[in-house]
Amino acid sequence: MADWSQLPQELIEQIALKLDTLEDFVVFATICRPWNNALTSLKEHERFPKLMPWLLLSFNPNRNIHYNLDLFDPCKDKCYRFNLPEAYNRRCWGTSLGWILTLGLDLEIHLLNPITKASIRLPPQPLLTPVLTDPDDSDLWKIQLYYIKRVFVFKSPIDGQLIVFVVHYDDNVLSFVKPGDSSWIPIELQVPSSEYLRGDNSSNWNQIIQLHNVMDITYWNGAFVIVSKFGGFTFLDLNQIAQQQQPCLVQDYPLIPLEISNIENNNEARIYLVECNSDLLMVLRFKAEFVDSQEDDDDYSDLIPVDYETINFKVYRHSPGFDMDRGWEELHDLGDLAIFVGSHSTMCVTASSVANCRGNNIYFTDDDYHVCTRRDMGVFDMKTGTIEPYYLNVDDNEFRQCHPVWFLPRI
Amino acid sequence: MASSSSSSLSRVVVKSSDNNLFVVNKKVASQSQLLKQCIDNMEEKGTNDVILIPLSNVTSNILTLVLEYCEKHADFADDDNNNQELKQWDHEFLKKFDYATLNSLTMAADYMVTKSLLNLCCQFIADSIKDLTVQQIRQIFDIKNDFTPQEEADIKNENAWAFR
Repeated sequence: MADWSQLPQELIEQIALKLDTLEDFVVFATICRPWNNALTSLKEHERFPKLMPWLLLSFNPNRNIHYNLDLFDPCKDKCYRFNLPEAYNRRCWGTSLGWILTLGLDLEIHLLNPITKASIRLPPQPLLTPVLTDPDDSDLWKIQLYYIKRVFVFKSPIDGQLIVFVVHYDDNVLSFVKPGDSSWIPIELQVPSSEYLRGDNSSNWNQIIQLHNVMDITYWNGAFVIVSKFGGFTFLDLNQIAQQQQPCLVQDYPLIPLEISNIENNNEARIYLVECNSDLLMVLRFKAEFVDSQEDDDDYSDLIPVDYETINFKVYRHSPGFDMDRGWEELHDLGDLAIFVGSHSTMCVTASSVANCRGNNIYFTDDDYHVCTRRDMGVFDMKTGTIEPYYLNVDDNEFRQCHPVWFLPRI
Repeated sequence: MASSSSSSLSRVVVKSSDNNLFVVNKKVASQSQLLKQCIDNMEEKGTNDVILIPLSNVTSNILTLVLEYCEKHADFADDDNNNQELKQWDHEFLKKFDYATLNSLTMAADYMVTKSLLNLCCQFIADSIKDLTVQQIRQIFDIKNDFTPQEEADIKNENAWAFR
């Protein structure tokens, strides 16, 4: 007689890894001891099924008096409510490792796993000049404006240590920290000094400048890749990041020959980077600005000269071994791939391996915060070039405090 | 060189745990890495005899099923992954079985290192589990709850969100 609890653990693990939602994965662990052991072992080795990111929905300060945060799993088409005072009234940014980064008016920064409630305190940001004097809750939205634009969390394959990167909103500089460090370290660029270039050999050959205009960062082909606003690429060595406290020696690569030069004239464009099956993908997001013709009685109306919405995306691929100068190829079809862009870490998913995920589509959330009157959130279909709104169950007013972000759940 | 083909086998004989013999052609047998390894080893030794491979863990009714799968997949060996007809066949193939058979088939696929069949079985089982409650899964797979009530409550409590 077949005994499903007596399957070899390796087979139980293989079955569990073929589930496609976190709920099914958790239910699996409660069937019997051997299945529970298999799941414990998978978790210990950080092996998880292929999951679709969840949408972290905003707190509604009027409704969430019990500190509840709603997390939406598109695969199950289900909202889970978590009691999370740890995240209440704090801005949240999603990552691909189960963590969300939270920042509150106290300027404390934490990594929080909203499902397990694990939490790691990170040092405050030394680069940031507090802009809020005597802040109250209505100032919360300004935190995004003045502080953080993009978050990327990476786990070092060398020592398993987390490295947290943050792109600051103000001048788009990049800094990183490892949990346990006492402070954030800015990423700086080592370049030949102007004296040296003029032929003055007595001067230091190099000077350190801060890397500006950073749009996104990802890990690809053994190095961190940073893209700047005008399409410049910079590569960072993991070992240097992992071991050194000093400004990192980085290699700078030339501009990429693309329509990116047009981006220079378009402040409402964004660039995202994501690694996919050993290729590096670059996503360009184009937004249209327009003047809001309606009278706005809003408190922040003086800060809202225009409105905007996302109108188009383009995707480019760079494969290992290509010449960085020429090696970008525009993709008109993403095949089975779905990409998630916004102020969270850029992520991608094989759509056919999870339910309710559309391949050849780009899911986007709002990553602009100087205008908060609408929500720029939806799904872009690469085939038709059309945009559909996504997740309509939330009142637009709730977006004022904190826009929804995607994050990849982990337990 | 032509010499390497002088000792190639065209068929093997596979013996089930209940001592039934199956004559299998080489292309079909090669779908199983275990059988392929045996064939390769014999060919290296340069034997021309038909070899007998005993499978002590697989009964003849399960072996019949594995070989049925291997035969179908040997026909599609060149475009294994992208063939819609084959995918459809795979699905229909597994749908026929009760969970006890599926269990034995999964074990056999693992033992015979027939990776695509093992993958297929695991995916089929995972798909059957999706969206079910703990009670339903235990019932369908006939799994005894071996937790104490306290243990089960603790485990559920750890991820209470999934059980509301």
